[in-house]
Amino acid sequence: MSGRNKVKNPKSPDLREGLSNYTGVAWRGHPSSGRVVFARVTLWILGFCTCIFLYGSGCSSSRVHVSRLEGTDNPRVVPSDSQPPNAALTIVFTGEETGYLEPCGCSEDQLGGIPRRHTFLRVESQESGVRSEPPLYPPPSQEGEKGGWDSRLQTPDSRLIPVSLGDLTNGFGRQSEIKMEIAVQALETMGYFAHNLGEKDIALGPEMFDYISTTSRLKFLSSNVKFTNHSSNRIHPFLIKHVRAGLARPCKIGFLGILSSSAAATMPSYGFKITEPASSLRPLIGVLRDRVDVLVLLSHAEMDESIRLAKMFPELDLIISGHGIDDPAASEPVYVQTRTERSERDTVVVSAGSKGKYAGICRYSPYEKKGRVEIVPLSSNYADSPEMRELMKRYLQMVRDENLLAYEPKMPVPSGSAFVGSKTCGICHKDVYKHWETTTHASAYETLVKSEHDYDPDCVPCHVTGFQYTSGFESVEKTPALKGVGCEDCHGPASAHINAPREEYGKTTTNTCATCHIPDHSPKFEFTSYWKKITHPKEHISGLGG
Amino acid sequence: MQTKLLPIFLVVIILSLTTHERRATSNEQPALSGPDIFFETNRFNFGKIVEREMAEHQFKYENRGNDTLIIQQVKTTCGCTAANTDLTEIEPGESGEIRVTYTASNKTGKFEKAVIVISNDPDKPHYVLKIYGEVVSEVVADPKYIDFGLIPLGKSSSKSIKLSKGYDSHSPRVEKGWVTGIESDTPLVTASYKENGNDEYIIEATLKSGAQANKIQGNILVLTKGLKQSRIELPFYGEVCGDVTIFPPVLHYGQMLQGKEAARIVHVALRNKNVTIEKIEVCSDFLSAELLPKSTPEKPYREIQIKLKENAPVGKMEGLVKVHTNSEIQPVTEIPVTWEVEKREREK
Repeated sequence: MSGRNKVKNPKSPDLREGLSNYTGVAWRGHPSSGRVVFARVTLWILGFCTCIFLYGSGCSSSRVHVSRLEGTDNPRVVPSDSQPPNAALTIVFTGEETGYLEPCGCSEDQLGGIPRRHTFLRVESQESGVRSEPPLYPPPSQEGEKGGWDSRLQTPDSRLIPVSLGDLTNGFGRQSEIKMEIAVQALETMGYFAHNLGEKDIALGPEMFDYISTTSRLKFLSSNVKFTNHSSNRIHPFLIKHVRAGLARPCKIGFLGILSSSAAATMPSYGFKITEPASSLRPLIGVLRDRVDVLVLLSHAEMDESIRLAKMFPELDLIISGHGIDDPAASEPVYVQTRTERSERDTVVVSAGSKGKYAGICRYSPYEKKGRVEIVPLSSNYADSPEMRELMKRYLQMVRDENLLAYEPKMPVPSGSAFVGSKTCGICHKDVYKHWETTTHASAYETLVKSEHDYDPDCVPCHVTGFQYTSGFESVEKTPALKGVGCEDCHGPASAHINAPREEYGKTTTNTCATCHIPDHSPKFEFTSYWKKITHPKEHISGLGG
Repeated sequence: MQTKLLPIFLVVIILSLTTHERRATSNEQPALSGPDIFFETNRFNFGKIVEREMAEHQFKYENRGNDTLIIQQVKTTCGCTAANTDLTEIEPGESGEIRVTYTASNKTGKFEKAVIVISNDPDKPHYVLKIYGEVVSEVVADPKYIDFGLIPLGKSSSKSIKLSKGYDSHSPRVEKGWVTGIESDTPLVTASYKENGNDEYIIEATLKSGAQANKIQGNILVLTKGLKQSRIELPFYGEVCGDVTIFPPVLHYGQMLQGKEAARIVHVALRNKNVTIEKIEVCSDFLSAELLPKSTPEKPYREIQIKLKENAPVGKMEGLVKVHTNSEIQPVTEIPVTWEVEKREREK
C-alpha cells in the first residue's frame, strides 16, 4: 500500500506549465537534455516495430471489450453495437449554497443563483447546447490526461445526473426553513438525483426533514447521519443510480455521502446522530464495490479530509468535496493516486466552491473508462429560468408575509446613545447633509425596493441605518428617517452627541466600510475611489470649532 | 532482413536528430513576439491573520515581451478576496502591481485563494496567483457557541463559555479589565461575565423562562480592549419545546388560480405521549381542515390536511387554523395560512 497514495496537485504559476510538469511529458522538456534524444530514438524504433507487428497480426481497431468488476465475474458496462463512442454519464455537482439562492443584485458582477443554474443544466443537457461561459477549470491550455482522467474527453450527453453536496441554507431559524423549502423544490424541478446532508441542513431539525422529505421527491443522502428518535428511512445511507446511457446493460453509479465531524461540531444538530465518516463508509463500500460500476462520494468536508478518505478508500472513483471551499480555482481537482491492479484510475477529488457560484461537471465514459472534470462559473451569461424566477418571487413573498424582518435580533447600543436619523444631523451640518443626499448611500433603500428585497433580512441591514440596534431601523413605516445608509452608520448613533456636542464624536475607520462592502456584495470596492464618492465638505459650525 | 532494415533505422535516427537539433536551436533563441507577463513569484503566504482582519499584498510583475501588455481583467473567485491592478497597459520592460486584499472571515483555519490575471500574453492568458495563510483568533471561545439545547416550555436555562488567550505567545493577554461590556441581541437571553484569573473570562448566558415554543438564535456581543478584536460575537442556539410542534409553522399556498381547490399537509408532532388533538378550528370561509388518520405507527407526527376552497375570491388573503389539544401548557397552537388567487386568464 505504501507509496501509492500520492497526492498530485500542480502548484505552478501557469496552470499549463503545471500540467506539463504533472503529466510527465518529459521528452518535450529542455532541448539540451540527452535523455530527450534517447527517448526520441527509442520511440521511433518502437513505433516502427509496432506498426510492422500490428500489420502482421491483423489487429482491428474495434473498441468493444469486456472488463470485469474486481473480485467478481460480473461483466461491467458492455457497449452495444449501436452505442456511440462518446456515450457518457454526466454528473453535475453543486453545493454549499448557504442560503445564497440568487445574487442579491448589489453588483453586476455577482456569480451564481438557482435561476441561472437551471438554464445552465438545460444547456448542458442538450447535445447541441452551446455553453455561455468557458469553464474556470480546466483552462484551455490545461487539457490533458491525469491519473486516468482525460480532460480532453468530449462527450456531449443528455443524461445529466445533478447532485447536491449539502448546506442549502445557512441553518437554524425561520428564514432558513423557508429557504430550504424553496431550495428543495428547486432541486426537484431541476431534476436533482440526491442531496447530501450538511451541518446547516440538519441544524434545521428533524421536523423540517420529516416534512420536506414527504412533500418532495428529492432523495436525501447521508452515510453517517441518522435521526435519533425514530427509525425513518428518509435519509438514505447510499443510493444507486441506474443509467442506460445507450449501453447494452445499465451502468450503475453508487452514491455515498458523509458529513465531516468537525463541520458538524459548528452547529447544533438536535434530533440527529452523527457517526465518524470513515467507520460509516467502510461497510457500505464493502457492499457497494461489487454492485456498481462507478462509486462516487459526496463529501461534506474540507479538502484535506476528503483527500484522506480517498487514500483510505481507493474503491472511490470520484469524491465531490465541499465545506468552506469557496474558491474552486485555488482548490483545483486533486488526483489521489490510488491505481492498483484492482483499480484502473486514480481517485479525483473536486469541489464546486460555495454559495452556488459555480457548477461542477464530471463526464465519465464507462466504456472508455475516462472522465473529464470541469468547473463552470454561473455568470449572467446564463439567463434566469422563468420557473426558478417564479420560485424566487415566491420565496420573497413568503419572507414578506411572515414579516421576518420584525423578528431579527437587536441589541442596545453599548454606549447608551441612540439613532436619530440623518435629517436631524442636517439641522446643524447643513452642507454635509446636502452632500449626503446626493450619494448612493442616501438612496440605498430605494435600490433594495427596486430589487424587491426590501423585506429580506439578508439584505436590509446594509441598506438602512442601525438595523442591528434597538433604536435603529425597524421598518419604513415605523422608522422612515432611518432608511438609507445614513450619517450614523459611519459615525455612530448621535443622540448623546446632540445633547453634548463634542469633536470626539464621529471618528470612523475603513473597517466600518468593510462591514457591508464585502467582496461578495461589493466586488469592485476599493477604498480610495469609493471614499471619494462619499467624502463630504469640511465645515465650520460656529461655537463648535472644527 | 536485418541488413535490409538497418539503413531504414539509420535514416530514421538521422532525421530525428536533425529535426530535434533544428527545434533546439529555435528554442534557445526564441523569436519573441508579443507581450510576456512575468511574476517573480505567484504565491504569497500571509501567515497568521486575526479574524475579520484585512490583509494586503502586492504582486509585482514585468512585461518581458516586445509588445504592449494589456491586463484585461483581474478576477477573484471568492467573496473574501479582492484584487486590482495599478496599470492596464504596460509597455515592454515596464512593471506593474496586482494588489490583492484578503478579508479574514470569522471562521478560523487555513485558507488558500486564487487570483486570475487575464492578459493578452499569448502564452499565459490566464496567470494564476495564489495567496494562503491561516485565520486565527486573538481570543479563543470554548465551546465555540452557546448551546441551550432543547428546553422544556416554561423553564429557563443557563450555559457558560470560556474566553481565553488566543493563537500564540504574541496574542494579547486576557487580563483583568480586558472585557469592558457585554450585550445580548435577544431580550429573552441575558448575559454576564466574570474574570476567572489565568487569563480567562467566563461568559454566562441565561435563557429566561418566558420564551414561547420556538427556536432561539442570536448573538452575545462581548466588548474588549483588544486592538484587533474589540467586539467578539458569540452565537447562541436553542429550542424551547412544548407538547406540540407544527411544521410548517406558517402555510403558504402562493399564487393559485381562481376556481381551483388546493390541498396541503402540515405535520403535528406531539412530543408528550399523553397529549391528543381534540379539535381543529378554521377561522376563514375559504379554508377547511381535517385531521388525517394515522397511517403508519412509526410516523412521529400526525397530519392535518388544509384545503383552500374553490370559492376563494381573487386577491391576496390570509386565514388561521387553530389546533386544540389537551395539553396544559399548549392548549392551542395556531397555523397562519396565506394565499393569493389570480384570475383564470393566467392559465391561457
